[in-house]
Amino acid sequence: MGQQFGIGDTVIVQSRKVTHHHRTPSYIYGKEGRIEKIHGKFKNPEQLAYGNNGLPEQTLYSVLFKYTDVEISKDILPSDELMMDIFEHWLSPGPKK
Amino acid sequence: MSNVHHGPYIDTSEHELSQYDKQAIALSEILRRQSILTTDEVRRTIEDFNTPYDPYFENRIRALIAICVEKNVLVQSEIQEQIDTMQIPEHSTYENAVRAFASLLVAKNITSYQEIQDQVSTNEKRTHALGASVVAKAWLDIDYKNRLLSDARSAISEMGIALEEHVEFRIVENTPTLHHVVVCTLCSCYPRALLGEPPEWYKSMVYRQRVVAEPRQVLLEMGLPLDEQVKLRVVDSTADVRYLVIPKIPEGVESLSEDQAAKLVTRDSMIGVSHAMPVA
Repeated sequence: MGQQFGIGDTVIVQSRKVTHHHRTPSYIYGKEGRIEKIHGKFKNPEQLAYGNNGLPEQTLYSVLFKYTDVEISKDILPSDELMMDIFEHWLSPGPKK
Repeated sequence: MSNVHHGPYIDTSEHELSQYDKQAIALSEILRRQSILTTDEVRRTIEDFNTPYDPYFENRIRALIAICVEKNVLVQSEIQEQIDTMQIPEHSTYENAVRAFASLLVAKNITSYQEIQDQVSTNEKRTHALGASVVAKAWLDIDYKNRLLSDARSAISEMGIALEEHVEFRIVENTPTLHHVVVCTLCSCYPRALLGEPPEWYKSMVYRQRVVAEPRQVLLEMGLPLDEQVKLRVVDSTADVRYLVIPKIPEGVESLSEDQAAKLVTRDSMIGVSHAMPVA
């Protein structure tokens, strides 16, 4: 299918200084999660937001995080999780587990 | 937990959409369908406002007008003139803007009052009863549920429910040991094709921030204390996928018909901030 990551792969969300429209919430920058599902390819919203055609399409992944790894809440239990959809160009490979 | 400072309470009162709100939604969809603008352009424009998404519809109409001017669909002076000419002093700036914008788009043959009204009527048929019918079938038919979990679009289409083409759908299941709650921290992504327009609280900054920062407390305040044995999964719908929750199956539901079961499925239970109603 041509995507970089497979289900179960550990990934790290990139930290970037962005001023343009994008769909990766800053609270998840730098956090480590694992690929839970591959949604397929979608047009890039960062391009569409400025009237561009959004091509080439990018792979969108569902990424699952241990809530404790996200470090934004104390109101969670050790097994709680956070899940969000992140584009491939925002993900780097994480350490092999 | 008693000496931890929690954020402000989330106001869960219901607000009916006004005719202006419905027209603002309809105009958004018409302009998108005609490829005059994209959802992403609307989001980008709103994000530059001082208080994005608050007030929600006022900012939306302001964004639609700004993008149309940006793209030379209309000129700033003509929308201003239309607002000045058509304004009713007793009406708010927002109401006057919606009316003037709609009439200018009609004058330019970009849409018609009939098309706007048709879109409003189509949207009025989108209520959470659609989502509830999908959930009820999933509760009572395990093969359907499995199809729904693996390919939501095709399973929902089996029920004859129309889905938007420009987003995808995913159904997640709440069980006695796993509880999902959905939010869109970045804006107000929501499975509108299955639930209609989201409630005010879902779109509020308070919910969007607090449900990721203190999820168990938010659920407790909204009437859903989660046991320690239940794993919580907060789903932040950040991209092109819209999420619907199958609430935890109430005991005894297998004795009901699909119609009866659907009546137990509340909108809030399909977001994940409450359980479905129990079998009487």
